[in-house]
Amino acid sequence: MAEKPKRLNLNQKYQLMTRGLDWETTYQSMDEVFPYDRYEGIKIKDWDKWQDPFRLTMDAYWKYQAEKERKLYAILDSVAQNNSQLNISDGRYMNAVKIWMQGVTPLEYAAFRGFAMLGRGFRGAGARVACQFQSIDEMRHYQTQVHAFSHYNKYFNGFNQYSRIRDRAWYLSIPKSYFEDAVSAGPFELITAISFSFEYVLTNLLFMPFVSGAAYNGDMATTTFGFSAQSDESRHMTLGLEIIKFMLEQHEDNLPIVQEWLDKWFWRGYRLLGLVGTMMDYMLPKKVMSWRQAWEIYWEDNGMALFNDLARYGLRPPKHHEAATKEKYRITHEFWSTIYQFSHATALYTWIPTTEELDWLSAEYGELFDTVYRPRYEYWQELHEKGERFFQKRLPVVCNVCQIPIFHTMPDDPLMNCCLVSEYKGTKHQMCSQGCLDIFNREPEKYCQAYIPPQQIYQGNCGGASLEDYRKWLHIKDEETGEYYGSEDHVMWEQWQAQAAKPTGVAPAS
Amino acid sequence: MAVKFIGDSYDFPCANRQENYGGDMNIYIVWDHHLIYCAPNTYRLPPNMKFRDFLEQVFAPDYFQHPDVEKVDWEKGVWQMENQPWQPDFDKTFAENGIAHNSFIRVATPGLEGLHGVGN
Ligand SMILES: [Fe+2]
Ligand SMILES: [Fe+2]
Ligand SMILES: [Zn+2]
Repeated sequence: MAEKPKRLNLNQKYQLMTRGLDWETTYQSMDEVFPYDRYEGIKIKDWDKWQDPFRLTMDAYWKYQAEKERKLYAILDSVAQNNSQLNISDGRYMNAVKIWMQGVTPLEYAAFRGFAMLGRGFRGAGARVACQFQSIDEMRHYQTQVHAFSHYNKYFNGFNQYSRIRDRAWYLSIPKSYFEDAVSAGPFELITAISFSFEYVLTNLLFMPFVSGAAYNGDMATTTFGFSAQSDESRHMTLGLEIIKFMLEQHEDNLPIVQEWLDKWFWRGYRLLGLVGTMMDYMLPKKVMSWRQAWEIYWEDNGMALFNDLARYGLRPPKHHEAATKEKYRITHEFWSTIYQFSHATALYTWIPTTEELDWLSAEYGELFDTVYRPRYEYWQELHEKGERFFQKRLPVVCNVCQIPIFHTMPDDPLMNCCLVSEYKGTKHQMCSQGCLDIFNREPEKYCQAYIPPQQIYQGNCGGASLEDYRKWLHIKDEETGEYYGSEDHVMWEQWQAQAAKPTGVAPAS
Repeated sequence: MAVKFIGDSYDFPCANRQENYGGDMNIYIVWDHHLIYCAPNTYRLPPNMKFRDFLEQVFAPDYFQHPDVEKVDWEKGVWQMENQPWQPDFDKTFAENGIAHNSFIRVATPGLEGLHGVGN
């Protein structure tokens, strides 16, 4: 008599469908099959000790993601059909979405590639499987974002060249170089950089401002993909924490290596987030919270609590976090001042905040804002009203590590640019901070190769040295850049507002 | 600490080495306490340019929207090179002044502390 086949329980199924498919190679040595997971110096005694942070099999993954996809695309269709672009808080808001599309969406794609490498790179099957899922997640994030933003691209400037300018525009070399630094490291550093330092430690400072910012500002498309990505992100965060614990539990020699990576990637992540903080403080007409407040909650409280927890593994908080905290009163104003004066070379519009917005910034930032940045903005506003909109015509010095123009000031002197120098192979390199200088000095062989936009422009590799030539090389039109007020986006937005204000007409006689 | 790598060597030229400038050089300079211009400026210039010509014909005009530029006397400036005290000779060239490729120069002008006297 045939017995009824038994069903596997979830755990058995997971074991058989993931680790059960793995084997110890014999025709070739394991070292040759997995050539990359030892050279960084991380010692793993027993990959079987890897605790799978989430037990997911491929069939469950597909089913679950397909369900989410159906809902997401249904909402994106209704966004398009209902002309949801009319519901955003203000035309200026769209620049926050442009920053995302130009700066962050390509990182999703880069993450897909990075995690595909990790999904092949580790010799432990548990870690490989987790990375393969994340790789597919990141590809999906990239696709859904492009799909969501494609609706806005029908109306607003600044979207259509996103993939070209990702490789060419000076301000997008900030996120680009961040990720390329990570994927050109070994697999353990890559996963520490992205899964732990970024997705676990700093994620709330990225995700919260954008997704809540979108919700506050009536942007259904961004809000919807944000929520759809959220369950993936919680898996990514768990992976980040697991990899740190795993490395530290496996061998005591791993601690100093991991600590150096955390020092480096905290600072790189923090520098990158300056761009996000600036978006929060300046590009959201309806504010979620200020960068200062977000930093206090998500780093000073939550981040430090996390590092207190990790102290039992011997880890200390990352180097230079005190300097980051000192900068919380100035970093976004310095960054906005920079984008404002260089926005003629971006696919973004910039503006001076309204009086109400300046009052909000004063309340959030206090004395330093009132003595330095507010009068600065008022001066630029006066120039603008005289028809002399302030733009910087000369190229800035850019940090050789974070690739941000060196607008940064000294930790204890917010009125003095901080520009530190390190010489390597007879060439001097400039850095924005002690944090970036340490990163350079640790691996000068790597950072001396950095593609720094102003240097490349002067070397003649970017279409020419004039602004017009450079813009042409970026494929950005003059009308897509510079001042918001009077721009094509602004004019269109005003027309929409005027149409909405008109009475809908007299009802036809019956 | 040095970079860890796979293979026999890891050796690449610096991306901003002087030979990429066809005889010119890349220099960096900032006028402290004039932060409406957010960052130090960068230039591609020949080493035989006279320092005074650079200041008067190239550098000062870059600050044309700053009211202090009308009042500035560079000879009264307090100068630094690579963040160390340094005194240029205004009638000598970059090269004669020891200004090399990728040098970083800063100048403060006591009495001219930017707009509103707060470094703007
Ligand atoms: Fe993602
Ligand atoms: Fe992620
Ligand atoms: Zn930097």
